Amino acid sequence: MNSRGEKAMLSVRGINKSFMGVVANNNIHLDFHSGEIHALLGENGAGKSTLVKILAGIYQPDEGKIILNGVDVKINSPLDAFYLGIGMVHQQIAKIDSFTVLENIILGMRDSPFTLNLSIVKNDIKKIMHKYRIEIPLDVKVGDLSIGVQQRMEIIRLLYRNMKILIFDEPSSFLTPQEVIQLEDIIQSLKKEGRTIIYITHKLQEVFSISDRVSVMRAGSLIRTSKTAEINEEILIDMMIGEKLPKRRLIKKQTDHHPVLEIRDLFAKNDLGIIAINDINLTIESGEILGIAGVAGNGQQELTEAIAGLRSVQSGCILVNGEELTSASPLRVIQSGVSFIPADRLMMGLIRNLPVKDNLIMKNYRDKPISRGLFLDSASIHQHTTKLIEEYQIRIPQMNIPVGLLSGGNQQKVVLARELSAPHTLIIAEQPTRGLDIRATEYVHDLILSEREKGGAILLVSSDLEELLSLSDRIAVIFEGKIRIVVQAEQADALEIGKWMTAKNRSEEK
Amino acid sequence: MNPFNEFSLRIEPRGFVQTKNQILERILSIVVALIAGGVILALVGANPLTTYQAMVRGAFGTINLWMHGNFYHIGEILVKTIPIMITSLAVLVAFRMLFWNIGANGQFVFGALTATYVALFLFNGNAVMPALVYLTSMLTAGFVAGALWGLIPALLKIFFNINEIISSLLLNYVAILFAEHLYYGPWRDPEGMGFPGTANIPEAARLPKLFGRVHYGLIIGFMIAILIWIIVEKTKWGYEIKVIGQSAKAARYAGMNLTKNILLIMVISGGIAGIAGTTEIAGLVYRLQQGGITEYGNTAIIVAWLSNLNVWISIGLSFLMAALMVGGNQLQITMQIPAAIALVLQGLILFVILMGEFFIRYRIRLVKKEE
Repeated sequence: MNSRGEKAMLSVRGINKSFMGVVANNNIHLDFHSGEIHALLGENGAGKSTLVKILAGIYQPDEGKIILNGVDVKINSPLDAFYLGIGMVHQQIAKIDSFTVLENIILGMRDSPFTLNLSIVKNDIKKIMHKYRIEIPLDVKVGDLSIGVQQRMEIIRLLYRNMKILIFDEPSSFLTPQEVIQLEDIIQSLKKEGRTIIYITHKLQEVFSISDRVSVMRAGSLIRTSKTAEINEEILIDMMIGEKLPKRRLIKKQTDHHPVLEIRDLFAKNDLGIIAINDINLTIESGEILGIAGVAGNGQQELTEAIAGLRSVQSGCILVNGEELTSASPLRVIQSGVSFIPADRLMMGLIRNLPVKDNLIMKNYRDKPISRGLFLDSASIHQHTTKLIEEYQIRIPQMNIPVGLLSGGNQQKVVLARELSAPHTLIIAEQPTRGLDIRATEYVHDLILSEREKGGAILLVSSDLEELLSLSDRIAVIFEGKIRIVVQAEQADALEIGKWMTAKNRSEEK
Repeated sequence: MNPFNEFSLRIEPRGFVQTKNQILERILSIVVALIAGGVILALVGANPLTTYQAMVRGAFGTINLWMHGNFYHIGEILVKTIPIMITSLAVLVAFRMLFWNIGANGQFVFGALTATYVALFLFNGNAVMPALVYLTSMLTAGFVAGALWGLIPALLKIFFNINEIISSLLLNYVAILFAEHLYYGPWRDPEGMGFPGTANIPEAARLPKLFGRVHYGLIIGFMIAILIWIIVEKTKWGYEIKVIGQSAKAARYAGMNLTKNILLIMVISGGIAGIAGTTEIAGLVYRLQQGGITEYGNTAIIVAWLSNLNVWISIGLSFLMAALMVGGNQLQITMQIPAAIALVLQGLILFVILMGEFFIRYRIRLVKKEE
């Protein structure tokens, strides 16, 4: 019973869970009420994802009880969770791109009759859409839709199955400021109906803008649960990280400037063969960070891939330190001193099933002393690995553990260690802090700034405006494959950039 | 009440399974295979226990025979182990890069027929030529032929993005039927009294024996195994194979040339399968003929897959698979069981073991449907 006399809808008691000896959840006791938005706050690796994945049936706890409406329940699979009315909106939405939204919504329904009357289903879904004022096209293939729309589709999927408890795992990571507002509206209306919302985040302002209560987790333990109204930002930060963060040092301006990356009249297509980069011109000088702001899917990925040699170019040219690298092979781009921190950390930047050492030599395995002639030198590889692990404070429980089992922060450190330890003059950093906690983000920011200080040129692609504003010298806004505006960071205004990102300024542009 | 309305079956991944349990599960699946096989045997009126006993005896011989220095049975297993082992190494190396070479059979056949050509026709059956010249040129030709045949699916993949599983599989039939054409037609031994097959290759073109019918192909196989192991574990190229196999996207990002690597891996894979065909001709059958060259490629794929693409495990499994074949063949002789039943038994045992592999990774649960 809580102070308002409500009965807890869902409770966990004494949940313990560890992975290969690393404790992820340590004796967690927590109540979630109906009709509340309960924020779970914590750094990456704090154990919030583990806890909700236990509730969603993806993991099973080593110990502990889950009580739903006063009854002990066992949740052995996501399907069990579904039957119990617990649904989760994942960061990466499980979907079939070649299916329509409607087909994706009804996908996996077990209790549907043998023949499916699509028009009845469609009607039901439309009612839900109307009720919660969620606008999405039902007959469009999902692959063509933005992540924000896909997320709304997922919410409808859960509502169509009448989930009583909805878990959101960092839902705002990929959304524009406008989309975040829409999402918050939807979540509020779900709450009014008495549903329970569990909202995972590491963004403090979201805790205050949306939640009724907030539970802070750190290093696998629950620190405290409090009413959001009775707490302030400093206390939360304190609980989250347990110590004060160092203040970011002031950015020194570099004096010696020469262009490192020059992009002229660049055109390139995306995987579907549609023009995704539409006449882009950019220059980055040494000691400069150029931020690319934009909603995911507006050509950022194609741009970074074109520079890295991973995507062929239709026309235009790319110069790095005066050397023409237009449509060069990825190897030539690497050897010309371009380091690339890709957004797709686990699919492109790392090989998830291989250990850290194999991931650290991905780009220098051809060079001495890592290899000699045809053969790899395992002693040098070991030395190289231990040196980088120490230098970049990569925390691994075991030398041979697959990199995919590390926390997001440590995974990114592996990428950074590899990319920054190689000789380079240009760094392409694409979403370098996505999904990372405050401390890891801070660490990545420090590394990027120190690269800038050393005279490196950095192309920083991010959907986090705050990050762009605090790091960049200049910010270019990309929308539908075009650079819409380039502004000096100190004169930039977040709202203004947000408008360019969503082309609200389109009319003015013409 | 229909129970199917209340319950449903569900397949779920098991996640992490301890090694100890994995071993237990494998033993269990062998036991299940034997029981299932026993049922089949009982159905055809044979005593399962005595049949299994005969099978083991047929495969390995008896202690009594060993005491008297008779290792004929073990030798027979080794003779069959050689082609399975070499071909599974060929398959394994391509699978490591996630290039699904299902065409080892065809590459094997092309190696075999090219070696036959070299031995019979290229040197015109020259009996005075040294064995070394014969054998090195046959092995080289076998390698090249297998490699070229293996390159076809690689090129189709690279230029037209044609699925290599389909193309390499279909090329098997082309190779097998082409070989058939040769030994039925232009290459048929005129003195063979109508038997479909070429003439025997000259003495100098034959691989020497180690003991019994076991030939030097065994040594060649182990040399290939060591070579493959070194490539896979110790070289830059082995690292590239591993990375490409795990994630083509990451490999491209790391600047690896996928096209070059696909071509190379199929040269090696096809070439080794070609060598397997060559050693079979030069070491055992001495001519291209009906049967004897098409029964190993598919077994090798199963072996490579079951070994988890591990060189040494695949050698051990090749031996066991050969034992299963030899033991099954012996059944026809000793137990008067029809040949087909022996094959059914072999297939059944493999099938249950493969199913066991599935159950190591997944479980099936009976769940009650909720309202």
